[in-house]
Amino acid sequence: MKKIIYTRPDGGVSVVHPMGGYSIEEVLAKDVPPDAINPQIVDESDIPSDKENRDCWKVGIGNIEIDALKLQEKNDKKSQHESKKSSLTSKLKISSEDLTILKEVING
Amino acid sequence: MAFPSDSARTKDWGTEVLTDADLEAQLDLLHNYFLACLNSSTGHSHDGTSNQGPKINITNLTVSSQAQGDIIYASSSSAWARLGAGTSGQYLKTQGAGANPTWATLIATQAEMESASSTTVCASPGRTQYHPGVAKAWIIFDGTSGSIGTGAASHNVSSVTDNGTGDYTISFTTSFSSSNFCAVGSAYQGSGPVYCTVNPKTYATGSVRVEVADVVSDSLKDATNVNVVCYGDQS
Repeated sequence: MKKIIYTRPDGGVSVVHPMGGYSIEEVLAKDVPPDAINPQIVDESDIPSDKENRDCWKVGIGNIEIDALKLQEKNDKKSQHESKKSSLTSKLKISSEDLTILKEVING
Repeated sequence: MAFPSDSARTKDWGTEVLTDADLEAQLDLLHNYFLACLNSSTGHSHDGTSNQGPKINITNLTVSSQAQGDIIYASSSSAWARLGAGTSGQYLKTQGAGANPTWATLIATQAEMESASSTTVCASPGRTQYHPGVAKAWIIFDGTSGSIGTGAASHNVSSVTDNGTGDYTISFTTSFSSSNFCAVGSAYQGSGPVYCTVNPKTYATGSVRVEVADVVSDSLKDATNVNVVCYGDQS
């Protein structure tokens, strides 16, 4: 099944899925916005079925590829986030111990 | 039924003096003709219980200014009149006893459908969509993975564009007359399960862009069942 892919002005990638009864050419002419960058008709198999890294997609030549740079940035952010989360969790654990002592003090 | 022909004459009336026998022969011909007219199967029939009336074969009846498609009707208890052919698609409408029939348009026009006030015309399948209470476009599709496909079912939708996670543009076959229309939706993510909201984001005459969000995390989400219905005035 044919699909239409293009890059939006904001850098994102859009995938157009024609409904039954409409040819890919009709949809290309009617539903692809005029500001679409490099619209292409591709096979469904040329589009990643896994949307895990949907925000890292980029339009290639007749297909959609994962933008390695975007993916690296995403993974770096994810690592930083995990690191901060781990640090915060550690701090919360200390606080939890303090809270236990505090409860003992309050309860006499 | 043929009248006695000239060949049945027994004499040439123009040159000879008719005798009593000649006249009787002619009267016999006429008598037989009238008997044939009264025959029960071929002509005027009378019996002991009913009078079927004369069987009239009308081949040359002409009503003034008649034309193909005209009909005749009783305009009074003693007169007939002609109703000229209406326009294609019209139906004959009675106006009750004591009134003449007329041609009437039964199918509502686009304007009548849009005004939604007439109680004397009917909606046709091709104009039902002009009624303000009727959904102009709707679709249910799977927004996960690349499986939007052609949607599970839809009406007046030409395509769905996947702009990113939980971000879709639905394009219409027939556009709305303005961007002031109503789009409502619901969504559900089967695995989880996760309940989602559908939020119209950008309205254009030919499309609406919606975002689907997880109600708990308030983040955009691809849902397995995305339903969108649009109401408004079409161009």
